Amino acid sequence: MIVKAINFMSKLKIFLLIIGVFVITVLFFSYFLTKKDEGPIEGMALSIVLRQSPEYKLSLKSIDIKQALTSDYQLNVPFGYYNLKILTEKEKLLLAGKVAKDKVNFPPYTIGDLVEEELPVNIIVEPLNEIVLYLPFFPKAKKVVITDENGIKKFEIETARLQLAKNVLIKLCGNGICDFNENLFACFKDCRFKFK
Amino acid sequence: MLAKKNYLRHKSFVLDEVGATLITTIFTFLAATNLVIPLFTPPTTDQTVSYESITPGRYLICSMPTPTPTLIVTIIPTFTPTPTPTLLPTEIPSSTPIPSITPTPTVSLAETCQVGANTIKKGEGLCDEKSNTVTVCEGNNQMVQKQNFCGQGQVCLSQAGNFQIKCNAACQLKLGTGARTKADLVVLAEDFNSYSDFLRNVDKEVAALNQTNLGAARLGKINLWALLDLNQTYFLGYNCPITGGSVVACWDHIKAITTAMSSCGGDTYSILNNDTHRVGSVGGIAIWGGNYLFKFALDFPTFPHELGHSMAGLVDEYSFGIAAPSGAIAGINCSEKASQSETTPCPKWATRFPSVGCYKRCGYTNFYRPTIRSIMDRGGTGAVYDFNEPSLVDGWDDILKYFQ
Repeated sequence: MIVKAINFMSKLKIFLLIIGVFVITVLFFSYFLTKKDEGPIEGMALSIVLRQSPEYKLSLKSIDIKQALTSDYQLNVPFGYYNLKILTEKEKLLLAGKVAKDKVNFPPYTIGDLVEEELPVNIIVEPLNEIVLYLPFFPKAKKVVITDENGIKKFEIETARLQLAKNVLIKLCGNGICDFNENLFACFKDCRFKFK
Repeated sequence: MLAKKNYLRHKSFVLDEVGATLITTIFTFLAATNLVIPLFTPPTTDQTVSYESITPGRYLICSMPTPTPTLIVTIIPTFTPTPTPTLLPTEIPSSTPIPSITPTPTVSLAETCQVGANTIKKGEGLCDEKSNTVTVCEGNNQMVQKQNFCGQGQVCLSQAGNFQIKCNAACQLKLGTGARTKADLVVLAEDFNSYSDFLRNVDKEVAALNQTNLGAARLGKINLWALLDLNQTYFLGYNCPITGGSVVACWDHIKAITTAMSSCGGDTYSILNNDTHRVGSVGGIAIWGGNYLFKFALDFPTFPHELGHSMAGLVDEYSFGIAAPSGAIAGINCSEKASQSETTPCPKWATRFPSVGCYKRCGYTNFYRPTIRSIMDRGGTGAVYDFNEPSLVDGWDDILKYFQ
């Protein structure tokens, strides 16, 4: 009986030791592996507004970091478009996508039986006056490069100096997402393990 | 026996020392990182804000929103002061025994407000869906207007006969799973007065999409969101000049795409107008990247037709009444070149789509369409909901190829 009890206690001790080592290991790795990647900050957008001349010349109207959602820019634009690339300092690609450069106007869709000759309409293509981008905000991004359909560079925007205000980072803690720069200790409620 | 017990106790003690140290270390560590605390901390709830059962929705901020007390606009003086209850003494007949009165809970005037004939409690209020403004009771018959009461990415919901303030996600998922790997189409409201009316019409749009032959595989790559924001206007005017012509009506594309992107992570949008800017029989207008629809046209294939333009880049197959000007591009679903007969595929489709034909008139009178009728043809009598094969494969499949 006693021997059994001793054996049980020894096993319990070993079991607790294993559990302890496991917990400490997991916490250790979670601390060092949390958000050391180059991912975007959820809920933050790099908002860029570009002016475009009728000759397709681009100029920067505004650039800002906003608390907003972003587009994926993964639609395979069937008409005139620009390629978008977000790159790090080491030219590592963080995001690639397409954005339309033209406003393609289609004739209206009418409900009813109109005589064909009553509809002298046309598809009209014109350059967009403005192009608004809501790109994911990558803290490690250095630049946004815009090229045309042939890969020729049309515009480049330096983004490395854009930084989130500290209070924004504080606000991000609690958004339910373990963001860049957050970890188990800096923002427990976002980065803790979910037991659900 | 006692010795045994003592032995056991001793052994237990030895274990406790080591184990307790170990357990203490672990729990101190866990407590330092707050890992164990939430397990024992009762959840805090906000008394004034209650939430609908979780509906699919995109939330910008995932935490429980706290009502923003920042924008106190006006203290509304219009509510009549609560009448002070007058106690009319009633004569109690002495012969009848006095019934025992069970005390009813009394709500002090400091904790209530009067809304019409109703007395509401502090923290309750009214939601104006049109402006997303909550008029909340602060006690002492003071009703205060608060904009964005539910926080960013959330809106208040009005409820008939209920003064509890309810909040919901501004982006309501109507089709798809909400996964980020899908294309996000956002339906924007214009001139609607209630969410329920707007959402009912969005449901019609979803039904029209499901009626097409896009199929589960293509529709499965799309999330359709309805943005609950009734306070925006996108319409700019009629007969708007554009390069080389004019369009019957136009809207603010930049505002619409910005709203769709920033609010719901949209890739494209569709504005649904409550027939306030209707132009005759025009059911919808599209540019690539977005479209503008009139409510009356939702009983027809208008929504998927316009999406064919604004999302898949398809062109119209009904007659424009003119021959193609020089340089005009036939597009995905039209062909510049005819085949030897109507039932033989146009040269551009001959190898890939052998079952289509080559019928004269595809937008321009001298272009050719692959089938007699398709959804990209005219509305009205004989309108169909099916896209033809080149539209499905070269249009929809191509545009969605980077989504899952």
